[in-house]
Amino acid sequence: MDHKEPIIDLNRADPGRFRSWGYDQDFCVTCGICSGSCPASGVDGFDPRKLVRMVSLGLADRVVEARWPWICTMCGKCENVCPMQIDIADMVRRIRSMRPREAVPGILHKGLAAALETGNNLRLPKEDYIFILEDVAEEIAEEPGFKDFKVPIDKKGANILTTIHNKLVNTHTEDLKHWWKIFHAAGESWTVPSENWEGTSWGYFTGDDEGMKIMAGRLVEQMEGLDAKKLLWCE
Amino acid sequence: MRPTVLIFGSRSDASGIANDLVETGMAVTLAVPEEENHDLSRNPLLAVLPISECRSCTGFPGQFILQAVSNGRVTTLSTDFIVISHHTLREPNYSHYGLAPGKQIISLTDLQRELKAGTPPSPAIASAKRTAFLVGIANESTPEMTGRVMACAQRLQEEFRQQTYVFTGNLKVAAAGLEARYRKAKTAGTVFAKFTGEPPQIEKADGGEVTISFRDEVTRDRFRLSPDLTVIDETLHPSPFTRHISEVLRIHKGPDGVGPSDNVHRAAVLTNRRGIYAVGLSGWGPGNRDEIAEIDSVRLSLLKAGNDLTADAVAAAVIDTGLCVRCLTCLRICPHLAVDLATAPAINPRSCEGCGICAAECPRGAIQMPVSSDDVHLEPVAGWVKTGVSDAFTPSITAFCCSRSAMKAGELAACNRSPIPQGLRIIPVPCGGGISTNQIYEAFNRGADGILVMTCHPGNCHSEHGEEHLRKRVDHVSSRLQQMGVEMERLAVVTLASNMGGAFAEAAYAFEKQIIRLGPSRLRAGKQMLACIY
Repeated sequence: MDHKEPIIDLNRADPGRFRSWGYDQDFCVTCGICSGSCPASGVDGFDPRKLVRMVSLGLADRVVEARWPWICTMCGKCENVCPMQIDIADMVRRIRSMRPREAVPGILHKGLAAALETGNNLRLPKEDYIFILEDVAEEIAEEPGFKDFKVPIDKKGANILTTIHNKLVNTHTEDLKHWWKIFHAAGESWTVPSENWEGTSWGYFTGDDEGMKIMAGRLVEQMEGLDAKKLLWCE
Repeated sequence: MRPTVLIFGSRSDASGIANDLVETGMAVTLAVPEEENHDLSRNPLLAVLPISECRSCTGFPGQFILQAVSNGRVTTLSTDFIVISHHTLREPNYSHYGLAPGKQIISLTDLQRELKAGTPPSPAIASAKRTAFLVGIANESTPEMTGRVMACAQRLQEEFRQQTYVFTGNLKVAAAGLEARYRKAKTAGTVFAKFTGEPPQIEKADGGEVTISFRDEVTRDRFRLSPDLTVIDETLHPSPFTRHISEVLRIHKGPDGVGPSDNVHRAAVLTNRRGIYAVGLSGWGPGNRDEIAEIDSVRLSLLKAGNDLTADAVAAAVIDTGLCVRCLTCLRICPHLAVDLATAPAINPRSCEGCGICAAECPRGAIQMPVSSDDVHLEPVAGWVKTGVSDAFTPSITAFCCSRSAMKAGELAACNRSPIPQGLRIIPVPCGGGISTNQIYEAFNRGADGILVMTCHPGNCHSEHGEEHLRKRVDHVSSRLQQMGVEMERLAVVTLASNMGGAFAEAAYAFEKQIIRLGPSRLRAGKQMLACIY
């Protein structure tokens, strides 16, 4: 069994290959505090320490091909605890960016493509989206203390423009109610856009800088068009 | 009066401390190996004595007498204090890795020599693309060795554009400056692979090419590397001169034979003999921070002792000359060479460390420690949380505790509010090796249901072999108990370090449980049946 195990030839590897990345991966002392703190450690073999080690050995091809770097949720806990201040989450993102786009795990790849085409990951048509928002608003209005509650769509000059995480108009519509009710009770001036409302940034998540820029640019346009003062971007 | 200091050492290593001590106002003699080229000292206040041999060293701080051979003649030297300046030799560990020196396999010292500024290194080094360092895999490395490896790797990376790999065992960077060196080597691009379990496999082909195969402990993948150059670490040995002096002066040596024993209970420069100090143990060589710190410690110790020879004196053992039959057991057993035979056998209070090993071993009971166990009030440490047992029987347990380790652990247990058995009584002793068989019997006589002897871990004893002496006596008492039909489990030894408060409480509890199972001791209630034994 053991003799069939693949052997990596260091004479062909170049540990200097990613030194220009600037994430300080070479300073890793392999203490493992990152792995200990990582909520995804152990899931499908994910281990931030292993990832850092492979990058510092110049073995990124292997990490790029592996499924496990896609387990990371990029919460950044690892780099918060790292005594050598290695930018582990950025490194994960960089590794993800090295995959050809069509090799990005299906749901992420398709979701981002949908968002770039339609303004949201779900390809949810505008009329369906508005129907869902107004439906939730009607439910709120039926609750005591929220009589006449309306969802302010495309309101000009609001203090806060909020984005919508696509799951909130899909499977988790109840979750819209909590913060809408808080806004209402606080007398906040707020709005949600009718288009390009996607709150997730799978361009950021998959290491697709171009996709991320487009998504962020659209939000800037929304703010300018609606003359909103602040952006509440829930990603 | 100016204190006199005799320094043993080679000129290159020892003149630093010699000149330092001269400046401090001491009368210094530097005894160097005769084979060394000995120009006269440039410092008129420093006497240099070439010697071929040291024959004996007797006496005590403030009055050491030595016989040495200089120019073929036996010379008697007297001095207040002695310093051994260690000179170490390096032996490459080729055989540890199954390798032999060659064009592509060199020692760390050889590599350093090649990298010396001013001369171009050999083509084998200059043209190598990949260099592997093997360090601390076959045996524990030293901070000095680790530091040299990291400095060399950094230079090969930066000046020769090589890719360097350091294959290492424990990678300890706690010594001054090492973490910075580690970071520099890492910045330069050196790759470190650390091995705590399965070591790398090293093979050498007929053509001289080395192949290193290993499993990376982080990625768990198997790797292979064929470096163009393999650099081998070294083992430090004391020079024959240093070894000879240490032997004649009867300084206890460390496990690797270098320097005085690595004793956790005393500063590194102190030896088992008061008034005799050791420097140069780190192997860094003159000018290094660690070495300077060692020299400073010796200088401070000498200044203190030079002002007052009793400055650090402890309550010393005293021999009752009326009882003493001059069997010389104390002379043979004292780890600190504190027994003075000048007139009647006596303990020199300047050399005595107060361990009590002599008192415990004296077959006549002629040696008294200033505080005997009879004087110790058998009360628990203040602050202990004592818990009762639900059992009707609360065993009375006497614990003899070494004041350097177990006593401190017990105080820590009190501090942590760890519960302690209700019936535990404590007798602090200066050293576990000073607990006599009589004391153990006496504790049984006074009603102990169980006796726990708590002392330092093997190798941690301030008096070097206290724990071994103790074990021997406990074994002896145990076999006597067995003969008497008393359960041997009533007597147990536990070794602790001073920071083991939790372990102290746990051990005491486990022992209480054991004694509850055995029930009250038959020797209880003042039967005094042991009086006839000794």
